[in-house]
Amino acid sequence: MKDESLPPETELVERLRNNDVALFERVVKTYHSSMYAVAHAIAGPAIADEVLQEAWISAINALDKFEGRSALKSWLIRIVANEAKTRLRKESRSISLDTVDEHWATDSRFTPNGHWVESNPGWDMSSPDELLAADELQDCVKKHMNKLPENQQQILNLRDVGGLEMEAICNILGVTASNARVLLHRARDKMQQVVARFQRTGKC
Amino acid sequence: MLSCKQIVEHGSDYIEKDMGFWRKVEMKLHLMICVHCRRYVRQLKRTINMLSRGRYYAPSEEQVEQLKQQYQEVNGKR
Ligand SMILES: [Zn+2]
Repeated sequence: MKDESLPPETELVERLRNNDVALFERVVKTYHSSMYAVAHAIAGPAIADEVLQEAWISAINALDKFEGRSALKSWLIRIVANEAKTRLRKESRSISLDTVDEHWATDSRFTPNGHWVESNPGWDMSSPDELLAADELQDCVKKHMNKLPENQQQILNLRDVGGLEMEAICNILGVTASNARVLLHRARDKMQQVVARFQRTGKC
Repeated sequence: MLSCKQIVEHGSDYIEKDMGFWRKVEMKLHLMICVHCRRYVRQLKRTINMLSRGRYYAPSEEQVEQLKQQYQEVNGKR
């Protein structure tokens, strides 16, 4: 489940260069998801698999050139982001903040003067490990991630699931930093509500 | 005094310390006296941590096998 299951980076890269297939498999299983999130956000779901395939091949070929100046994960993410950018979807993508503002304006969690309507209960599953181990919850999170407005989903995938820096994200999507922050927070807030509802009711 | 709703709207800014000095003071003051918003901020942090570690797009067994094959091919030529 965690990065900790992989050996330290220098050893990791050395072994990958020396044809350690079992380790390569673990690396794929550890980082594929984040890489896919980035490919999906930039190039679109239709060709994300293709982009990822290309990215892995580029990475394998470039292993000798990996200098360890960044973490292996950020190196892989950079490769997949570059690969995806060459295949950037053509449709125009206008980033609109209107829907975001509207959401806040009509947020039923709050009274008109901005107090919580209901007290916000604590979570039974409180550690991130517990959250991650609950398969039903993770399925639920994924389902709701897919329901987010496209631009919120893109930014959430790039930033939180993919781990890209905000600056890189703004460049890729052509949005201002403040707009990106608003969209990201809206998406995170939505996901918090999904987890909170699951904790409260056990339902998705 | 900031409202709870304002705290929630700026939860990520607070967590990432991406705000001016006075706003930070205002938020801290609110959080000191409001258990609900404290919970919210804690839950938001946990949600972000969960998202960054979740495997939402895990590869299929088939994809893994395919990648392993490609890895071995390239390494054979190294
Ligand atoms: Zn409050």
